[in-house]
Amino acid sequence: MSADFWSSSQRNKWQLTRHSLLEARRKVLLLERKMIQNGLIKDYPNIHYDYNMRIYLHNLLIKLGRRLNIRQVALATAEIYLSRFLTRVSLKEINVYILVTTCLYVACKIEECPQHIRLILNEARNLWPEYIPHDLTKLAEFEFYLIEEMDSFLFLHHPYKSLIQIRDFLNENTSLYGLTLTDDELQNAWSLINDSYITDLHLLLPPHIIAVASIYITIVLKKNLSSIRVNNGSSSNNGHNNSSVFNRNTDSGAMHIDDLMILANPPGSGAAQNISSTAKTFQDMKLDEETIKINKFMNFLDHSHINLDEVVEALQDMINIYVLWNRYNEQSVKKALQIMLLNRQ
Amino acid sequence: MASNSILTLGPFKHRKDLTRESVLSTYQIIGYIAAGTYGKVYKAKSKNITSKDNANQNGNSNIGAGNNSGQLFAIKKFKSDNHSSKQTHHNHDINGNEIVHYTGISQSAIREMSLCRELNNKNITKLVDIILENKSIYMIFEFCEHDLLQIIHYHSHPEVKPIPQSTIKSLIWQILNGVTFLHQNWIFHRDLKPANIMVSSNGVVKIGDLGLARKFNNPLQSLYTGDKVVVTIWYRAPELLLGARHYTPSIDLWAVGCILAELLSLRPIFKGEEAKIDINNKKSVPFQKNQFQKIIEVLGTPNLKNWPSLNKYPEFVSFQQQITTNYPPNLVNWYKMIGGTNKQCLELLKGLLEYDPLIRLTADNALVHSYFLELPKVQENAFDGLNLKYPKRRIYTDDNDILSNNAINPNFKRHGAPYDDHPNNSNNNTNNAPNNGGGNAGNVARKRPR
Repeated sequence: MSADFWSSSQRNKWQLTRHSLLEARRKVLLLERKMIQNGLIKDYPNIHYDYNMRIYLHNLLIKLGRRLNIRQVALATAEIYLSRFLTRVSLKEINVYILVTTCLYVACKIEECPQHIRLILNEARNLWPEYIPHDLTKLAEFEFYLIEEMDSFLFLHHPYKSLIQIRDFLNENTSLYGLTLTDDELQNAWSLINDSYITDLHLLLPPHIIAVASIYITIVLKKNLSSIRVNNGSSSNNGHNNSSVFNRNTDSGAMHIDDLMILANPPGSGAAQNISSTAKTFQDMKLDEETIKINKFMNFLDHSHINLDEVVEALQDMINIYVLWNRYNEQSVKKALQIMLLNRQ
Repeated sequence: MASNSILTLGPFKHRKDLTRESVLSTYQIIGYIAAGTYGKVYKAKSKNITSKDNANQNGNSNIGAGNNSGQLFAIKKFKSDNHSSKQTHHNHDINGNEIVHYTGISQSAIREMSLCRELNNKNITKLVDIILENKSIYMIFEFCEHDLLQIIHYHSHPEVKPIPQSTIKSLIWQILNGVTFLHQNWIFHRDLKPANIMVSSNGVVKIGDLGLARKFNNPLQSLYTGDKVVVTIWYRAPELLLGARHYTPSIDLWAVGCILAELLSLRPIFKGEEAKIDINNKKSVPFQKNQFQKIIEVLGTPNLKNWPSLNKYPEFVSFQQQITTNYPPNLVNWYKMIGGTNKQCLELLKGLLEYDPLIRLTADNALVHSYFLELPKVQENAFDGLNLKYPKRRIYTDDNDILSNNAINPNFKRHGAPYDDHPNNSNNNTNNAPNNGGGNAGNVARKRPR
C-alpha cells in the first residue's frame, strides 16, 4: 500500500536479503557467461558491477538530474530502479547511458513531476552524445523493458520522509528526549542519504533504518570532528569528490573522510557492537554538548524499537562508500564502457 | 562515429523477446467489453494451469491470481501510441496495418499501473497481473459482471423501478469503504462516477479505473499543474469548478454524494453541460457556468456564510459575474420530489453535498453515519434480498484480436454503453499527453464528455 511501507510492494516484493541478492547477482553472472559462450555478447573483463561502476552510474544520474533540475525524491526513485534492474540484467547486454536516462524518465512520472520525453532525451544527448540515440522511441522502448524487469512495481518509500518524521517527532517530544536536530544536521543526514543510493541498502533494509543511520553518523561525526579539531587543528581535504556530503568541504561543519574512517573502525570492537561501544567510549569522555546529544539519541533509539542490528548494517555500508569513493577512478570505468559500447555490433 | 547498434537496447532486448510469454498463452479472449481512445477492455478467461506456471517462471509475477482455469478476467489494454495520427508520417505494414511505435507510457497509464500494484482492498478492483508485450500494456483485473451505470439503467428502463433502500445503502457503504481505503493511503480517485463503480455478481462493490488517481501527500508541484481538469463534469466538486489549485480528497466525497443521489433518483442530480475548452487557448480552462447553475438550483447559491473561503478561489470573479440569481437551498424538496423518505439518508446526502470542502463529510466519518447504523443493516452482498437479476455485461465479439495494434478510431463511441446521454469518458484521455508523460502542454481537459 502506498501510505504504509510494511504492506508495500517495496517490502513484500522487492526487499531482498544479502543471500538472495548474492544469489541474484550470481544468476546474472551465469547468464552473462552463457550469453558469451553462445556468442550473443562479447566479454569485456573490465566491466564489473563493482563500487567503481556504481559510483559512476550514480554520478551519471545526478548529472542528468541536475541539468533537468529534478527533485531529489525522483532522483532517488531512479536510483532504486537502476539497482533493481541490475539485479536481473548484465551490464554487458545493455547501454547504461540509455538505462540511466530511462530510469529517470520513469521516476519523474511516478513522483508526479513528469518531464517530456524529448526534453530528457535532449539533455541526455547533450551529456553523452555518442551513447544516446536521437530517436525517442528507443527510450520509450526501454521504458517497457525497465518496468517489465521490475514486475511493474514502481512505488517507493525513501528515507527522506523518515528523516523528516524523526526530526518532527523529536521536536514534538523534547520533554521526553531532550533532543532536536539542527538544520545543519538535517542537511548532513539528508546528504548522507543521497549518497547511500550507491549501496545495496535500499534493496535490503526499510527506509527508516537508513534514515536513523544517517542521523547517527551525523551526530557522532560532529562529535569526532570537534575533538579532532581540538587535537590536530584542521585535517586534510580529499581531492575531487562528487559526494553530496563532501561538496560542502569548505564550510566548517562539513565532514571529512578521515572521521568516517575512524567511525568505520572504532578501536578494538567487533562490528556488531559498534553502536554501543561507541556510545560507551563517549560516556567515558568529558560530557560535552555533543556527547550528551549522542547519549540522548541512543536513548531515543532504545525506546524506538528500531532494529539496531540493521542500523549497524546500514552504518557500515554507508561509511564504506566514502572509503571506496577515495579510490574511485572515473576514467577507468568511462573507458571500459566506451570500449564495450563502441565495439558493439 | 558510433555505430548504430549501441544506440539500441542491445542484446538484452533480444534475450527478453525470446523468452517472453504472450498474453494469449495465459488468457483466452472471449470478447471485448468497452473501447475508447485509451484502448480496449476485454473479457477473458485463464487457460490451463501449466501455461500460468510458465508465465510465472518468466517473471510475470501473478499477485494473488487464482489458478483455476476458466476464471474470468477483464484485460485492459492501453494503446501505446495515441498520437500517431497526429504525426506527419503514417507507417503501415504490408497488410495495411498501422505500425505502432513506442512513444512513452502516458501519465494516466503509469499511475494506474503503479497504484493498482500497491492496492489491495475488497472494494477496489483487484489487479492480477501486468503484461508488457508488443508495445502495449495489458492490465489484468478480476472480472466484474456489473457496474452502477448498468444497474441504474436497468432500474430506469423501460419503466422506472426504484432500487431498494437496502441495496442502495449497502452499495454506498461499500463505495465509502473503498474510498476510505484510498484516502488512508493518500490516494484520491478523481474520477468517481457510476460507470467506474463495478459490482461483482455477488454484490460486492469494486471501485475501478484509477487512471486519474494519484497520491496527494507532499505533491512536488501543485495538483492543478499536473492535471488542469479532473473528474467528469457532472460529478465535479464545486471547488474544482471554482478552479481550486490545492484541492483535497473531499472532491471524491462530493462525487459519492452525486452517486448516492443518482442511485436514489435514477438520474444524474447535476446534469450540466460542459463548456468546451478553447482549442486555440488550451491553457485556459473555462468557467463551468452551466454545471454550477445545475448545482445551485438544488443546493442554493453558496455564500460566504456557508462557504467562508468562497472568495479565495481563482474563479470567484467569474462566479460572481455569471451566477447572479440567488437560489434558496432546495435539497429537502428535491429529496421529497424523488420520493425519498428516510431522514438519515437525506442527512448523509447533505453531508456529502456540502459546499465547503472543510465541512463536507470525510470518507471515514461517512462510514459511521447514523444512516448506516439504523436498519436495514449494511450487507456484504448488496444484492441480498433482491428478487431480480441484473443482466450480464454485454460482450462484443466482432474484435477478439487483442494483439492487434490497429488504430482504434479516436471518435469511436464506446460500445457497451447504451446510455448515450451519459458522459462516457471514463478513459477519455485523448488530450492527456498520452505519449509524453504529461508534459506541460498536453494535459488540459482530460475530463470532457463528448
